[in-house]
Amino acid sequence: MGEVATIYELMNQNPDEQVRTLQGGQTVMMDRADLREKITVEEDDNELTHALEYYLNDELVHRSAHVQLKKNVASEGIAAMMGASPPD
Amino acid sequence: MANTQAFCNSAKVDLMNANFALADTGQTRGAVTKDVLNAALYLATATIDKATTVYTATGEVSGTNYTAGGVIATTATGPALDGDVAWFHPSASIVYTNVTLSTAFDAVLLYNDSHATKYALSVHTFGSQTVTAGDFTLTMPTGDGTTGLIRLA
Repeated sequence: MGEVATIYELMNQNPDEQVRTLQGGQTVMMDRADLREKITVEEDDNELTHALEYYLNDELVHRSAHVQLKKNVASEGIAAMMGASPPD
Repeated sequence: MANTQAFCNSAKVDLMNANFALADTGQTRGAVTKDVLNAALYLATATIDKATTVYTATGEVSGTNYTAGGVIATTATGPALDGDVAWFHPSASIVYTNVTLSTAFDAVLLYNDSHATKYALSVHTFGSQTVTAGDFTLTMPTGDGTTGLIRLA
C-alpha cells in the first residue's frame, strides 16, 4: 500500500474522494469503488513515470500521468571555448 | 519525425544576446523583471529538437482545457552555479490540470513567453503519454550541476 499511497500523493488525489471521468465527452464524477483502477510505474534512464488509470466496463475514463524527469540537457564546452585562441 | 531532447542551438546565441532573463537579479540588460517561461507540449509525431528556434503551434497538443502555448513554468529561483557548471530549472513541477489529451505526446518545449519572439530554450522528451480527464505533471530532476534540467558547462 505504501507505493500506491505515494502514487495518490503524486497525482494530488485523495483515495477516498471521487474520480473525475470522461464519458461520452462529458465530465462525470464517479465513486472510486465503482471503477477498476490500474496503476503503472515505468522507469528508465530518462524518467520515472507513474500513471493512474480508471476503467468503467473496460473503457478508459480517466488517466493521469506524473513524469519525473532525470535527464538534463547540457551545452558543454562553451566556457572552455571562450578562452581558446582562434584557429590559425 | 520525432522529438529530440536538446539545449536548443539558437538558445546558445540568444543567451549571449541577453534574450533570456531567468532571474530578477544578476542581469543587467535593463529588464526589471525576469522573463516568463512557458512549457508547451508536443505530439509524438512532431519534430521539436535542437534546431527549434522559437515556439511553434505546429505539432503542439490540443484538447480539453489545454491552451495553445502551454502553461507557465514557475521560476522562483534563477540560474545557479555548482562548481564550474551553471544550471537552471523550473522551481516547481509543471502541471496541466484536468486536461484531456487523446493523441500521444512525448515532449515539452520551454520558451520565453515574455519576448515578442518566443525564443526556444530547451526540449525535454519522455515516454509517450495520453491524459483523460486527468492531470499531467512533469517534475524536475535534482537541481545541481550534475542533474539540473538545463546545464551550461
